[in-house]
Amino acid sequence: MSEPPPGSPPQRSPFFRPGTFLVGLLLGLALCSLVARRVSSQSYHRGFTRFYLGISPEAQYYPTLDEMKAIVRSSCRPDQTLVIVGGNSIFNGVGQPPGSVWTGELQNQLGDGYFVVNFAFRGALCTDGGAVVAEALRKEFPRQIYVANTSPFGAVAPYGTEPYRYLFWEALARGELEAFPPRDADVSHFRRRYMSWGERFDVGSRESLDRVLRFRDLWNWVGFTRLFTIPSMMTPHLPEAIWPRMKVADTETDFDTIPFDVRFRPEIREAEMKIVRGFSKIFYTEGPDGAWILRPETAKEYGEQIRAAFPDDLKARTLILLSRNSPLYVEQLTPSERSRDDQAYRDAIGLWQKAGCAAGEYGTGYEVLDFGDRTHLTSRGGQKLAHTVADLVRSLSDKLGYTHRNSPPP
Amino acid sequence: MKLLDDALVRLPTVAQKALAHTGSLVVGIVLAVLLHYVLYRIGLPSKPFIYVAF
Repeated sequence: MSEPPPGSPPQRSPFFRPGTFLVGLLLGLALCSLVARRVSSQSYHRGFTRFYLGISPEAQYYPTLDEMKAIVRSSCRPDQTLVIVGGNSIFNGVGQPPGSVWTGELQNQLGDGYFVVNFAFRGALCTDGGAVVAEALRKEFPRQIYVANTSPFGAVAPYGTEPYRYLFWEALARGELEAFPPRDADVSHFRRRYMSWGERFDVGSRESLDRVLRFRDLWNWVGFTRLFTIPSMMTPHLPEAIWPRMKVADTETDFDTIPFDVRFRPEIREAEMKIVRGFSKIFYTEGPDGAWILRPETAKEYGEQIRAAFPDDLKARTLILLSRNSPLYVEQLTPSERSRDDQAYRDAIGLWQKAGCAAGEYGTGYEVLDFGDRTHLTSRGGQKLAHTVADLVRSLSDKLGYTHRNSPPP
Repeated sequence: MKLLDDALVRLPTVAQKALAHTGSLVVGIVLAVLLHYVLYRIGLPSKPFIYVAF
């Protein structure tokens, strides 16, 4: 073979067949997609209790919708009522070591007729994570109750919050969510107002591609069962850095092993007290007779957010719990501040109920030792929470007719 | 690449064709898997999420 003359285009190997190469490329993508669908259709989370630090976005692990649905499918029998727990770190069980997570106690208290799964995430809203999975499974598991926590007049964006919003986009792109005009309008407004065209393109193209190719499903499975390839602060050093995530244990700190004075250091107490004082302050004005009046704009905005949070037909089986602060702080409030706080809980519960959800609160009557910090519960507090939630779930289950055999789906 | 081409031209034509198609198919599949992985990686946030309770 002679050398090509200078300036001529580079010679292509006669053994490279572009057509066959293209077939190989498409075949490879199709194979990856098929494998992804297969592996994500069955749960690979054995003995799942919750998404702890090692398998959560803090560790660059983003559970997919199919992965979470498979966890439910693998364990929830058709004759059981599915109880999906969503919400934030309090409901995730931060401060409660594995074996003492409150949702385990909730399962014990509810018994075999129910299946409880904890899909709460740290820093998540009541519309994140578990809410998306619950909606996606609404037809497959019609006997279902979604339980989540929030704070009075806290954010209730129907499209969730970062870094968990990807689950909402994923479900939306795959047609797993109901058409619900108030939410659709909110999502549309959010896209126009808060996302640049680049972000809209990024999310849109990624979700469209993933809908077909399922790259998140495949590589999450690889990362969980075989080899993890993403640098993470949770496992910065080799060999742990590449361990499959199933090998990374749930090492949640137990509040009960941290001395009280460390958990409630004076400098922390001061900052936390400011938060507790401001908890309801901005939402209320004081009437001439000393009664606290919810600002009309707050009532209107919060009411609208709640209405758009969940589709109307799913609100009836949604139970929202408003989280109280530790009595260590609440008891330091003045009588007037406490009265305002109580009013905020009553008003927020009323607004959730008016929108069609079941709602309540927990934390009233809890003791200082039931809290690990201002908001999170110790294992002891978790037991109390499980008791409160179990009663509410049973009551809602009765109301929805789940406890009667052959009852129509909600 | 040139060395490989020179070695392959000495094979019978049918074998050359079979090898060319097989090789191109395998390269296509391998690149597809890499592309699949790259799509997964570029979809992950570049800044890690750090949860702070307040």
